[in-house]
Amino acid sequence: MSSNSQPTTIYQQDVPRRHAPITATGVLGWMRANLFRTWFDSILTVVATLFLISAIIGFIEWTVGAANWYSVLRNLSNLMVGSLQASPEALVRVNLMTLLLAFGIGVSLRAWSRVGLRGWLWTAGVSALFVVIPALTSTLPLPPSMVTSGSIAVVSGSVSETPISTFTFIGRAGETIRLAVADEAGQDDQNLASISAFGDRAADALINAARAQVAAQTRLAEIERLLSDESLAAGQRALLTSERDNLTEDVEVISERYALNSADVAVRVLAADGETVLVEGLLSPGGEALTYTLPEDGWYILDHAVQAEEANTLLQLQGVYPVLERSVTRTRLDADGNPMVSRTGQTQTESFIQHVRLTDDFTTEAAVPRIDGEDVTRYLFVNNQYRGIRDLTDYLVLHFGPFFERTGRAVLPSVGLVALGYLLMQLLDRVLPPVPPAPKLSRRVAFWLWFAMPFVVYFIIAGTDARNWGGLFLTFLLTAVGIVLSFPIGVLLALGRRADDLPVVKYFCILVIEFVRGVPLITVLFLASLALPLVNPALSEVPGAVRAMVAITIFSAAYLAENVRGGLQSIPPGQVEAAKALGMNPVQVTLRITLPQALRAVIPALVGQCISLFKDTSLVAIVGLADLTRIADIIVAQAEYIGLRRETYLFVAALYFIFSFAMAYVSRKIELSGSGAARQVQL
Amino acid sequence: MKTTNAEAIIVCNKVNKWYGDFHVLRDVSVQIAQKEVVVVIGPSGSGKSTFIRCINRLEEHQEGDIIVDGIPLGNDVRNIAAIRSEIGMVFQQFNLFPHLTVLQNITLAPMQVRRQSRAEAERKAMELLERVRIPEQANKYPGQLSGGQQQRVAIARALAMEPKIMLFDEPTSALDPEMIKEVLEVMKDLARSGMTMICVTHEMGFAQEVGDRVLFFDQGRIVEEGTPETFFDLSAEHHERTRAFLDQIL
Ligand SMILES: Nc1ncnc2c1ncn2[C@@H]1O[C@H](COP(=O)(O)OP(=O)(O)O)[C@@H](O)[C@H]1O
Ligand SMILES: [Mg+2]
Repeated sequence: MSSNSQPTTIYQQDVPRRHAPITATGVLGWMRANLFRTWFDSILTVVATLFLISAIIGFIEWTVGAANWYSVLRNLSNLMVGSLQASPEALVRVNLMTLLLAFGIGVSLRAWSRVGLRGWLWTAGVSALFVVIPALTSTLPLPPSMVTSGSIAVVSGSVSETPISTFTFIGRAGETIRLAVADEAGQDDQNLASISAFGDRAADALINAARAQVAAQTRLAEIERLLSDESLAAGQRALLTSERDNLTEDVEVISERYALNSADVAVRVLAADGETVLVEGLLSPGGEALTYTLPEDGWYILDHAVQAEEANTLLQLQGVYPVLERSVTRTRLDADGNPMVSRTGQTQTESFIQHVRLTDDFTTEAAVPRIDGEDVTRYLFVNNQYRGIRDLTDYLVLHFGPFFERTGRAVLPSVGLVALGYLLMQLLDRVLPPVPPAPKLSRRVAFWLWFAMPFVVYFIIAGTDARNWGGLFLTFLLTAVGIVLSFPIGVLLALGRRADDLPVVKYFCILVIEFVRGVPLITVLFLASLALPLVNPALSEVPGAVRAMVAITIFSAAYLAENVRGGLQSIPPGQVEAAKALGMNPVQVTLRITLPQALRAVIPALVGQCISLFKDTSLVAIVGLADLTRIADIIVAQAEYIGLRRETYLFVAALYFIFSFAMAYVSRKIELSGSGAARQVQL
Repeated sequence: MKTTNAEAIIVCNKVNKWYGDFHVLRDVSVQIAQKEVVVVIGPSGSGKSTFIRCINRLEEHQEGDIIVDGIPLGNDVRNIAAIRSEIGMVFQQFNLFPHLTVLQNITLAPMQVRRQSRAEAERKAMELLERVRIPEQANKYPGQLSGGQQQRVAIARALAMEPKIMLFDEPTSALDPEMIKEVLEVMKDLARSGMTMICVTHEMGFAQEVGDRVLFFDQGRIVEEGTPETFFDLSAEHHERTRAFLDQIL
């Protein structure tokens, strides 16, 4: 520097603070910074968005138009509790447990968190969906059933379907059925192709044939349009001409080919005895409909005959719906209504056939009507499934509404109990406000509630037969027991592994941890279920679910130990020194200083482990337990639900997702609580 | 010097310590009287921390005797516990417990070790926070405080055990200049109140104002010892290592 006499430069002028430019903040700023920062980003964004949109549209189209959710709707309780559903007492116990847990969640929400106006509005809004949606959809008309009455076998592709003239259906006392000729649908092929209804096999074949014809007509029109173009190349013209000639050979009008709706139909509704005629009449094309109010619950027979040698007439029926057959197992009751118990002390069960109406839960246990010693056909409708392109109304009334109605039966009481727990605790905190340093009373209640929960749940569950545990219930039990028991064991293993001054303990812990981590969970499950009885035959008496719990606990404890050890290692040695310098003994140092910090540090890893444990419980299917995934397997293997894999597994996946997500959410809350808030935990 | 004739509360006699084969403390002998404030000075790595950590047995010495308030330090666990409850320690890195609030940091040991009731421990903790001049931070977490505030909490935490002796290991070295003063003020108050203190620090002002004696460590030995006035007087006679060190810092 030149001279030390030169004064420093002083900047007196102040620069006023300004708001950040609009392009740097808000939605716009965010999008600019994250989605369109570079050309490459922009292209990726556009491509990803297009892909996402098409995936969503495809999914909605499939859900509304084609997906058949009956495998889920009809099996909700099966998916929830498995074989326990057969025992009403067990169901009461499971429900009690669920409500208790919901109450506990409500109490905890108040104790450790706060539900604001927005939270209440959301809860109320979502709960209202379960009431409003079923209420609204139940006002929509159910789709009709299309039944073919006739004498010409319908050919579509390789199938040939002869119309069936007698079939049986179930109905309730007071319900009105309406029988008429399907005038509009039978008018022309265009209408026929766009039928949206339940259909019998012949109607189904008619619809398919009509669709093929409509497609052929469209193609023909297209070809004609192309040929009318003078400038068409000769080769092209030849190709199109031959295609046209081939098509015209096949093109025929389906409604004409089967003389659709040209003849009257004589119909009769018979009682379940197969003889008493309840009502009869003649349905003519363009004529009056026949209505009849059913006198009692149960089976009815519909009998129809077309009044011409060579004609098919399409009937449109209201109040006549597909019937499902279901095999049910339940506890056998004696004359006094008490469960019957066998000599070995097990409650006896019995299996029998129920028939359920597809469109609602109406169920009958009466035997299928017989005529001339033969069961009257009850599988009139193709696979008991919906035929044709389902429109939105039919989707809403058949699937959407019933889904909310049925799940609502579980969701609404649970939400109610959560709210009850919350409000009770709010009242408690108001009436007995805490003296400042002491924690809120609700927190103490919540603590003791969750402390007591495992014992109470055990008490409730102990009254059910462990052999029948299944579904989501079993999945939860395995997870909860795995987490609750593996936690203390894992922590002890971790502490043991770090106990350098107790070499025997240390090497024992290392051995256990490394052995268990060295084998797959399936192997541990197999060992618990197959090898244990070899050790001691008495162990084979222990229910499989309990043995699986032991296996899962040990397995998860080993991994948990390593996570906790990682946390312990992250604690700076200064912490222990400071605690020691204060005169704390090793146990106090561990319990008060290192362990709390270590656990807090590894919350993400621990929750990750809980989540994967939750999902890994699906492996218990291999040792013969019917957890959620296994129940789904069993359902889709039933003839009734064949071809419904996608729907069933999607639902199961959604369940897994909801609960995994909830676990992750709670973990973020815990991370943010207490000193986590001060440390500004990054989520 | 205030209390030269009082009985020694800490006696170190030919203390030797090795890390593996590395001889860290070599024949360290010193007697510290009650209410004496001893300042330990020396270049980095000279064994100052090791020395004061031996006094509350955070480090183990291999040869020689350390006797604190009449209790010899050995492998006897009860002696170690007894001595630790008499000695408070303040670290360069504060070492507050980050998962506990300020109040909980202070009350934890009295409740756990001394079995005091929560109310009693909290009442005393608030008194101490008044004394270190941050009562308003009681319910914050350490992560929410400045370095100077954290160190004052650490001092309060040590004092809550009502120790007879306080050890300070470079309590101001991790602090910004603005915060050093507030911590030193608290330490000076403490010294004036008659606490026996051993402070590893290079704060000359502090040493001269309240220090009774300065120990100069070099390569694991005490090479010089004297009153602050003579020790920091460059014109006085000094060991060559001391002079080299003083040349650096003065
Ligand atoms: N745990 C340890 N293991 C081995 N060497 C150590 C350990 N702690 C300190 N030392 C060594 O002992 C010497 C003295 O360290 P320390 O007492 O911390 O010095 P000071 O506090 O005076 O800077 C240093 O050379 C240091 O490297
Ligand atoms: Mg040091």
